[in-house]
Amino acid sequence: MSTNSSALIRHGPLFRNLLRREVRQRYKGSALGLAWTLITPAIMVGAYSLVFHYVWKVVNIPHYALFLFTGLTVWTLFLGGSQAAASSLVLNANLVKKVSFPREIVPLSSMAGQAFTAGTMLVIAVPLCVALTGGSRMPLLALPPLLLLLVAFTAGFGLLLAALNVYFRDVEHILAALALPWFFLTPIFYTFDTLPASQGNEWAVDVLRYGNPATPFVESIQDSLFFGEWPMASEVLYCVAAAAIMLAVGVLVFRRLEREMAVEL
Amino acid sequence: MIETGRVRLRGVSRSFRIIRERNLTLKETLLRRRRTKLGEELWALRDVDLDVAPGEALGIIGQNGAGKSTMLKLVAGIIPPHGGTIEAGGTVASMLELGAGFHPDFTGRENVYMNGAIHGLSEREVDKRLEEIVAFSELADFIDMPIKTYSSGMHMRLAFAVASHVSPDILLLDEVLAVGDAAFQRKCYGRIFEFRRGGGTLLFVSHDPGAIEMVCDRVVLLRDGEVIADGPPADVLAVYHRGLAEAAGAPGTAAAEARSEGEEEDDPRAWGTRDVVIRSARLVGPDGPTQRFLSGDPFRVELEVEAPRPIATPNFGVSVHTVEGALCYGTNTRLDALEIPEISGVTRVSFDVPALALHEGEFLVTLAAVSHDQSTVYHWLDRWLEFTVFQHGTGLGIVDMTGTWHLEPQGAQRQGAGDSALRST
Repeated sequence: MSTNSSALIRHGPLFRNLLRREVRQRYKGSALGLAWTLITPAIMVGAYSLVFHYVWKVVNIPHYALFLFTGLTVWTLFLGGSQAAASSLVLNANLVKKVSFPREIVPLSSMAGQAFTAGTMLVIAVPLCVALTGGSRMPLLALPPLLLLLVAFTAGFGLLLAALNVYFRDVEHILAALALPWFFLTPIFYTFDTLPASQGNEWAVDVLRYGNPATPFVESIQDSLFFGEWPMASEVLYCVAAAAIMLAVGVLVFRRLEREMAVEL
Repeated sequence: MIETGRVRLRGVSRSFRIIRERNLTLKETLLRRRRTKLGEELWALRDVDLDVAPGEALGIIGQNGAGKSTMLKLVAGIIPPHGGTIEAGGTVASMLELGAGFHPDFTGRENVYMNGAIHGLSEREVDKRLEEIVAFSELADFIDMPIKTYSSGMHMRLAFAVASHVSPDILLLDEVLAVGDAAFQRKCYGRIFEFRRGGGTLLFVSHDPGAIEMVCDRVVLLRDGEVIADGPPADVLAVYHRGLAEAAGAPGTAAAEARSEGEEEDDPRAWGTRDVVIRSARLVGPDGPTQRFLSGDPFRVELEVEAPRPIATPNFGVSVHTVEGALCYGTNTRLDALEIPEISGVTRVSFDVPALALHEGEFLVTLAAVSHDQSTVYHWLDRWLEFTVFQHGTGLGIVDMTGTWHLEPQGAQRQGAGDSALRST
């Protein structure tokens, strides 16, 4: 363990270079460049607002566009990061097969690239929420630890997926196929309160809330950032437990599978 | 903790499964669980013991599939062994593939930083070396262009330039010099030789016996994952060439078949009355006897001569030729006005060159003991010793004429600015 972390520190430059490459190659040669980091979510916000807020009028949340935007920020960090991690080792097979270094660096730098995008979105979302939405501002104090928990959860999940994907290439495709239904099941463009079917079906809401590990993260971050309320204690506890378990599982599985990666790729 | 620069393998084994299709899908894996075996096992290395001393240059030869690349990957730590222990002291840099991690959309400069990071260099360490790396690669004009615009030769030059400026304690090279033009290849060998001069340990895999002999001072021959010969390059390469079939003896036996250097009974290159006999001859570099020099090294020819009866005013000569036969330089004690009234018994004769003015190539040394007027040849050893010179700087050719360029505009629009001087090293 200690040799492993010292090796990680020694390879800090590699992590930084991979991260820089990750961020820059995404927009290399495109005219708008880094602006795409914000254009893509802005277009999604526009489309979802149009459909669910103005056309169907099913979701009635004030500052709906901003609500969506904060939700998408969380989703970009979590699922974007997980997807980037899942395919990272296969994409960098050339490196893994020919050079010796702690393999975690590859998925972690891919996830950091997504975190960069999410971070940019967050820099815009936080002041807008402070300026526009009501509620108390004190719960913002909960935001940094919640984000940290989400990063830990994502790191664990990403490491797990990345390692498994080396051995079964289906993993990244399964994840891609699940991305959209998962997005719909997570309260990002709605809240459980605004669901017409949620009245009188509290147990179903609880299944949706705790059966989907993304939900407590999204809800508690929305609470502290957008709604200006302290997140539910049960959800925060869930987040702590989920982050700890996922990180442990991800690291352990990765360590197990890491040794033979150069052969399997 | 193992000594810096030392590599030690003990009982190292590694096998691979041969699978028809390399990447199993989830479904296949689940279905296959019920079946018994997953492909055949192939032992790439079997119970290998190996010691490489700090500063040693070990060549690894063998046919395809003999386990050469597996050995390097194990030492590099890219794959783990299935049995045994591997230790490597100090930092290890591997060049199993030139430009691993190069990205075509990024500029040469950006890729230098990335590649440096792969070899464990920090940004600041790359900063320090950047100028040298660019100069070595000869790509100064292209360094800020995306490397997808590079030719494969330029690609290789940049990759080698980075990798060779990492200065690790142990360097692993796998067949990487097979590409690129001949002139740059020689420059690479020069660089490798400089690395060795700096005390670095080298493990070098190649199919090219010439390259192995030029670079290494010890060679192991692998067959089917086992070391079947271990010793000086000439001996092991002889075993390799002879065909591997009957060479399955214990490691080390090959070394016993010493090359008969100095045994000149029937050698057509030696003749003379033998009133004076050159009993032994060797070349000495800055670190002792050697056959490899870096351009500019001190160079010394040492002879041990014996005169059974006293001989008056003998004359000893040395000359250096290219392998093609052109005379580079020749002299003798009479020309250099060294008076030798008489010798008898055993005498040591040496000829010192403070700085070798040869640039690059392979050379032969002729040695002679003749009478004062050169009418009698006591002992003549024609093209007797061989040596290789590795280039130190830029430029081409066999003679080192490293110089300085000057540009002095003489036209009407003279700006009054000073001369610009460019050194050609």
